[in-house]
Amino acid sequence: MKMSDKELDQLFSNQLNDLEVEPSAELWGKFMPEIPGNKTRSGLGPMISIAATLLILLTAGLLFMPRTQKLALHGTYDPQQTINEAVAAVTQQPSATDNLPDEPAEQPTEQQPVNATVVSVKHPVSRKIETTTTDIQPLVNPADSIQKLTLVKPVNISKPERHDDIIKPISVNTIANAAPKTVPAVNPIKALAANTTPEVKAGQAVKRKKIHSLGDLLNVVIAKVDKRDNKIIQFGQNDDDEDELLNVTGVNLGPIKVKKQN
Amino acid sequence: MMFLEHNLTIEQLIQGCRNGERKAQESLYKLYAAKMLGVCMRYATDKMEAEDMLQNGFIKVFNKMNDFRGEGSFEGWVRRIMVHASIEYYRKHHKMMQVVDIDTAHDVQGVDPLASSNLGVKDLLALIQQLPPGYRMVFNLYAIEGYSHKEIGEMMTISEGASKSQLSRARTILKEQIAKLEGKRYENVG
Repeated sequence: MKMSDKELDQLFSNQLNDLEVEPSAELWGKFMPEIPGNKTRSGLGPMISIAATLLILLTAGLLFMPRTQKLALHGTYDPQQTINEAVAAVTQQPSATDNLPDEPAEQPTEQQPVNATVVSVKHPVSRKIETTTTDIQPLVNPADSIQKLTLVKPVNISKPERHDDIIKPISVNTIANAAPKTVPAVNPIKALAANTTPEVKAGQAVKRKKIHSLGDLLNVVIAKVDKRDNKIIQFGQNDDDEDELLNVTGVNLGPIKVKKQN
Repeated sequence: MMFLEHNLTIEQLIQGCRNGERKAQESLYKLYAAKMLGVCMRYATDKMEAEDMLQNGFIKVFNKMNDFRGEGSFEGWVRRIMVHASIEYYRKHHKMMQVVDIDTAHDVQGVDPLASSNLGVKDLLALIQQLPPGYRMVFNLYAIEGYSHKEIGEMMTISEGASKSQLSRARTILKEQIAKLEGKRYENVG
């Protein structure tokens, strides 16, 4: 049988033009790395990164933000400053604090801030006395009360609820110590001092310490920023390890707190 | 069809490939791999060689995706790239075997006559694959792809005359092989 060129071409063209052959299964994986591009269709990748960064920054910000407590007092003077000064005066002279119950009126003029504090505190105390029992009333020196009440700002009287922070510990002490020969006017000072001195003392202790080393310097700087009891990092004295420049004695990363016991 | 199953049009696949999306690239590959391997098989001596051509062709397709302007069918564009990849492969690996003595060309092994009473796809493919590489290229380009001798000359960097000559020799070999196969078939039947 003789076949023309055209017939031959058509035979092959018709049969092989639409030929399909399955490639080996591994072929795609073999040359895929040579093709540019490995992007995923998900557009969430960058968004998640940004969200994670923001979360970390916010957490760090909240964690290291110095905690300040504001007293919402309306007045022409700053009661917090007054309290701090009073407490500072008390803590600087521990003997004065010890002697206060016995000699409450012996430091009248020099420790004016103390009186101011007492007065601001005294108002609810005296009110409490009035409402509870009349037996206690004589315990309060009337003359002293009158003298001190003159220093009371009208605002403090008109808005007693704003003294909540101060009143609570004092009122408890007042009731607890409502025994005879107890001067209520003094106990509040002790209670107040007990409540406020740890923070103040810690800060002042750092301030008072003489700076001998780089660790001390860092402690002072950190104490300025971090007002917590346990600072983010604390350094101790390098007594033994002279080779070490810094001796870390405490770390406080919020949930993780490590403190070296001396 | 895969792209229909995934509710993706070919345009979306192309766009995905342009964006460098792996899934789109893989879908496009799976869509055309079998068809394009069929093309490469005609230009190769065996499946392994054809897969090498296919691989080179697809790398070009993905690299030149931005060159497709939507003029004509995308499949036709991919197919042309596969043909060029096959020619390139031939140039690289079979250039030295381009000149084959017409007498030795007659000695190509015959196709199993029992495979099919009529010449099937596998027989014809085997016949083409057994042609000397140069003849195979020209026969494929002219008889199946439909290129002119001028175009074939340009594509293979040979003269038009050389293209005609090689086509003629390819046809002669194929006719002889077909006659041989049919003769053997008749012998077996008789």
